[in-house]
Amino acid sequence: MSVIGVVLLLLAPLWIAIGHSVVLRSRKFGSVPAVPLTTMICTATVIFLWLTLAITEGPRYYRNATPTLFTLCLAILGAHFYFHVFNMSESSRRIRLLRRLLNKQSMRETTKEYTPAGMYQARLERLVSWKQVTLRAGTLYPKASILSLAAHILHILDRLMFPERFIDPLHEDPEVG
Amino acid sequence: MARCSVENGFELRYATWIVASTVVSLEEWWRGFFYFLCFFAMHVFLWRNGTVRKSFGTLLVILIIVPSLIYAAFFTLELVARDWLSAWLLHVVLAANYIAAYPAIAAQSPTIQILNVLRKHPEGIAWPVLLQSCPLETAVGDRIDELVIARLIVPADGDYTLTRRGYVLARGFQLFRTFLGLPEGDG
Repeated sequence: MSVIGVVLLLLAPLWIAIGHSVVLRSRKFGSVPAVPLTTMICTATVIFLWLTLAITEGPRYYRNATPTLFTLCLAILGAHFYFHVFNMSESSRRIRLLRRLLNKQSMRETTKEYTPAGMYQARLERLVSWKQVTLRAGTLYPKASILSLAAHILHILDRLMFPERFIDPLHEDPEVG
Repeated sequence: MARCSVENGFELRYATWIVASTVVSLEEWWRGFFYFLCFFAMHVFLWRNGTVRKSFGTLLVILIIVPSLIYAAFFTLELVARDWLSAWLLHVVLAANYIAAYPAIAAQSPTIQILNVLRKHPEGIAWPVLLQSCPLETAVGDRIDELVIARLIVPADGDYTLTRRGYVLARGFQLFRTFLGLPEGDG
């Protein structure tokens, strides 16, 4: 692969950020929620990158499966990385607390406004507006979606990495004590 | 991949060709997945055994710094071909992605918790009942403790203040949001 090709690929998160900024600043997309919009921009950038590389690198690039697969892997991973960073800026509790301190707001004031119930409520509203869960007559129903699949995978990783969180105190070994 | 024909006295042209036209040779790129999985397995082993501090820094060392040093040593000693640069690149990008997703696992993201509780109740569940399954009492307090442990904030005058590291992180995210033209997130 050429130097231009590698630079284009490694800077995928930057291209996405520029495209994202342009789209978010245009009023046409004002009604689309931020995260689905980001997902669309990430996908569009991956396709754009592949097409750009196909044009700049020529037939030896797009007629050969190896560079195509490599490019797609790096571009998708770059987009996925950007998505996580954006999501962190949007919904991470720790980043929010840090930014409040940066804006000279005390932690005491922040925790008074930023209640756990309100935090969960904001997330539920977001999930309903993204159509990731169904809210019918006050009852919530799960929906098969990419986000619920991601949640399942993260739950498996949580169990794998932090088994101590899943120890049930009601099922202690009767032989002990 | 097309090969360059090297003629006598054209070493300079050959060297230029290497730098300019083939930064990454792709024959071995797929091995990056395999090497990433090996280091990921080491990360799982260390996390489950509790032999290391489960911090962001440790994760960075295990998944990026140590593997990169090993790759660098192999390159320097010429034990592997240049093709392995693509494997290293894929490894680092995969590790960066995992590290970006890791906070959602470590801090038990509320969105993920809501979705996982719902998954166990296909018949549907009322919001107040769902909330009972979520650790509301630790949702904010534990995050403050984690910020102190990570040395991003320090207690001062009955409240907290940002450390230099915390300032850089907060400012970075603020600049990012300003660049995108977005107000503060919902949290």
